Amino acid sequence: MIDRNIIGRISTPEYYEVEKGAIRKFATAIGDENPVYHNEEYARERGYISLLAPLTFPTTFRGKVQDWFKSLDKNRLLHGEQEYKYERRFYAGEKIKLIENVVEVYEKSGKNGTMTFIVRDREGYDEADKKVFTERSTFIVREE
Amino acid sequence: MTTFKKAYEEISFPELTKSPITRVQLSQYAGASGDFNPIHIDEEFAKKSPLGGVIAHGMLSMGFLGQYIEKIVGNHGEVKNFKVQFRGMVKPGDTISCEAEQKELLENEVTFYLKGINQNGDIVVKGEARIEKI
Repeated sequence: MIDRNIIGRISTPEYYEVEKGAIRKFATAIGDENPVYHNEEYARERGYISLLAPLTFPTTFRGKVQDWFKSLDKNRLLHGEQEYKYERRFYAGEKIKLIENVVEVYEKSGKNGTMTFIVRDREGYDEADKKVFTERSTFIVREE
Repeated sequence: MTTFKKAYEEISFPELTKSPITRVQLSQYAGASGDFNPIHIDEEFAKKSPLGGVIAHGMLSMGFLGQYIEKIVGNHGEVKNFKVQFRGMVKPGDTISCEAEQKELLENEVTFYLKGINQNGDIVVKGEARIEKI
């Protein structure tokens, strides 16, 4: 059973610089040759300030792993869902402030026993402290 | 001047079948994303786990659908919302094809259903994306 007290605790902010090399490496790993991620000149012609960060790029922002996540048994952990909501897209050269918190913990019983769902949000803010995106991840922990 | 709506009324979906997933790609994705969970990259560890072998990062499959929706959108608007459910395990050697279906088209907004399907026809990831006129 996962302690519902983890809900609502807002993490200490962490800061990430969005680097051109990191965008290129990420797009390359996916096998995505879209020039908006690789060619700065092309990106500028599209009206972007620099290389565009791919839709799922916020997943690369990995700082301190929260204690509740560390304590999960990784053999019983599944990644159920993932969502990105963008206020606006962001680009190489920007600095993103990231805060995270668990928004929901609930259980569901099914044919495979009880499963616990943990919904975690991570919000990204720009240097003017305006929200850029919300990433929502749903993790599923299967009962032993 | 093609309007936003018109561009999506006349849409023809591009093809996107990814190359078979390799272990090297999983290492590459681990490095690029920072997700070094051993279940994706350490065969010895993964063999002893209930899954019996390495599996691909779910986020890699989401990345494929992200690539696909951006290919569909091109310069007709901006993706504002993109969400998926992970439905099946993806393993090295699997080939993922992307498919899309238009769900709703408004004057300044369009929504697509998205699917990633493996070589056996199983849906491994499904979701949707909402695009707005810039």
